Amino acid sequence: MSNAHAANKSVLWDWLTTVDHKKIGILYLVSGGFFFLVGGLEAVLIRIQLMNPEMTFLTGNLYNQVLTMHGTTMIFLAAMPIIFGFMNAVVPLQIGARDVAFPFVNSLGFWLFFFGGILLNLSWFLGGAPDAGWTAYAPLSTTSTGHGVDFYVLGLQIAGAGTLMGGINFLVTIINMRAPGMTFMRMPLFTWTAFVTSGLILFAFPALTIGLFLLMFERVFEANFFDANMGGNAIIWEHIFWIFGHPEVYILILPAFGIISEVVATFSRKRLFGYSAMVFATVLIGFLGFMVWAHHMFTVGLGPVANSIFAVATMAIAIPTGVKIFNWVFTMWGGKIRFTTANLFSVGFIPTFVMGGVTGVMLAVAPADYQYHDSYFVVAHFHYVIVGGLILGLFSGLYYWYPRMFGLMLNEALGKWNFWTFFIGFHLTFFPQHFLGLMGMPRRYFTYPEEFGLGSLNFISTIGAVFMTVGTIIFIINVVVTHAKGKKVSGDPWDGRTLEWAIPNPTPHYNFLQTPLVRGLDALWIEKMAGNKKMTPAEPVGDIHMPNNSVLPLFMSIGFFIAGFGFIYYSSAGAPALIAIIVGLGIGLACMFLRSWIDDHGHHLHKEDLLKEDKGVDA
Amino acid sequence: MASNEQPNSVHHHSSLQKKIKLKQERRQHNVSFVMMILLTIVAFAAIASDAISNSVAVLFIIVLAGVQVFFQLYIWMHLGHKGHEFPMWGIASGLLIALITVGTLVGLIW
Ligand code: HEM
Ligand SMILES: [Cu+2]
Repeated sequence: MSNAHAANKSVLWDWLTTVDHKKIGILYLVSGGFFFLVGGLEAVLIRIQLMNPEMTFLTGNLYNQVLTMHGTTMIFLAAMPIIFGFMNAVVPLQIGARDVAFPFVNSLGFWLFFFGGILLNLSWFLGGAPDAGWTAYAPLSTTSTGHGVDFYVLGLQIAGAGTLMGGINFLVTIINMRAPGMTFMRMPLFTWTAFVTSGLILFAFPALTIGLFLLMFERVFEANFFDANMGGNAIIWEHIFWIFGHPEVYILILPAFGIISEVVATFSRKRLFGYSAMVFATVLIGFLGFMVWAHHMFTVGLGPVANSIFAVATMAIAIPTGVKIFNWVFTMWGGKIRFTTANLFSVGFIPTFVMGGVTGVMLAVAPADYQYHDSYFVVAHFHYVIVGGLILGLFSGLYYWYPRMFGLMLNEALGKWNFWTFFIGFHLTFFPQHFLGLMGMPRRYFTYPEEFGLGSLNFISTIGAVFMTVGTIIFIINVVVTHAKGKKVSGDPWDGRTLEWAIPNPTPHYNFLQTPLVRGLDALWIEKMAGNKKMTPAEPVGDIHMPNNSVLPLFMSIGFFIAGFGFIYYSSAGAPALIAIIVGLGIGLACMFLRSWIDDHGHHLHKEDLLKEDKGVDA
Repeated sequence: MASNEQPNSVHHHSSLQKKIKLKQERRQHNVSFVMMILLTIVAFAAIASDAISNSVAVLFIIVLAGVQVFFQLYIWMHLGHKGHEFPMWGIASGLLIALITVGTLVGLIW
């Protein structure tokens, strides 16, 4: 008994201190999934309030809080971490590496995100959540009373630091850790999109960091960057936010493009059509994504010249995006298509995302945007690209990589129920919102009068939300059922094409006993076609060098979490807040010092043990 | 510089060459370290004193910052060495994006 207890404790300790990319991937996935449920609950509350005209279920400032937290949670605490979950779980395997370049930083990135998310959500219990929208426009955000917006600023600052670290880590990993023969133009498309997304994170998140710092100084230390009365300029916040914000939406969607590319190719039993065009399109989208931010500000009054330039630049992005759509369709063309759940989500993604792209181009017509802007039409647009695009892509990736991540196969029958309820529910929810927008329903209002005739479409929209909730619940049931049964599958259940399927199940701690030699695109498929059972190794079996676990990232993040509290309450609490700041930053700095001072060379797994273990797996 | 050896001309004296190179590098490090501290003091002085007008001072410290970046990247982070093409590309594309963005932003606001 006591033995089992000790083992349990060490399991928990292992998860808290792990630097293994596979475990960190699961940590990201589980916490991102948790925040997805929180954000989903908030969405349901919003839809209940809007179900009928003049409802009083959730009104006024509380509605603003729920709306703000829904958007903020979904983007920063659900979508981003789940993407990082997949990047962790898959990218090192796809490039034939044994871990990421900086395992310690990887763990630190996760814990910073986690505590940033917790900090943000604690606002619910400490006097009210932020209420200025996920975009936190000044002066709404600078004059918002209470500490809600302070939680937004500090929570996102801490979580954002983690994201930035993650992005840098994956850039270095993909540049430096590829197996012999894995040239850039042989990398699977998911790795490519992870690479470009990481680059976008590196260039875009600093803008958010600066913006949040300015907002923090304005709120906590009484600076006046955005206050026109004091010579500031509120529009600067909008610029800074969207200089970050538009690349952010591509940070979100590119990994989904990557997932779709893997899934569609695998389940069509064909090589991805137009691989090099896909790579080029990804890089081009990443680059153009930085040149279009002002399309969120057409109605600010930038003038016709600026509006025209940004309108044209925005429409240009539709071209590489269109290239991708055609390439997916041509990949399926003439393929031997299997409609597994993963593939259903991917195939459902394609037309749905196209619809989001079409409304995007409509919004990019600057004069027309004066009509659409801040109406439900915009809400419909971004939910088509984010839910119909990103979330369908993430579900597809979950069903596809679940066997790799957990060694288990999600139930296909439940999976199909999951897909159809979610997919139909999605279109029911958001399709009518296009028309609500055209009929003049503004976004971010908590109600509408009976006479406006918006009732029935809103009612349909809420019914759709119920379907999506059912879909999500079916997914949770699926996870529970799958783990209860616990039936292991082989390491290559889908007849895969890329390196992550060349590994036995469960994935060994060190991923590859021998680093594989890559001979072309779809490395595993090439070996299969050549009649080889396994990848050709690039090295003899030898000792493997692995990093050590560390608890420092956890403590460091707790330190910044405490300091975050201090900054939030600094303007009202004075001395105790100052103590929290000093103690928190002190813990953080002490952990940094320890990390620099103590040499940690990792450990070696010995050849003899590895060979024994490997036999055990095969038997 | 006194020792003007070509790094990759002779093969059997490689250990001697390495020593000379290390010595050169150490000197570069020391010089740039002192220079960076001096530049920081000059930058501070430019702002603290009333001798130069503010707008000139701002331009002046931006130039100094550029020099500091050069020291940081080339002396301390060895950007000039072989095998650093990728960081070069990264920095170049980052600079490009930053220049376009900041340029446009400044154009839009003023
Ligand atoms: C062809 C591609 C796209 C075009 C042309 C486009 C264009 C636009 C335009 C012009 C707006 C501003 C509308 C307004 O506020 O009046 C907008 C808003 C938005 N778009 Fe897109 N978009 C595209 C793709 C995407 C993608 C892929 C995503 C995310 C994955 C996305 C997410 C958003 C979001 C979140 C907003 C609203 C932000 C807010 O005000 O809260 N868009 N889009
Ligand atoms: Cu945008």
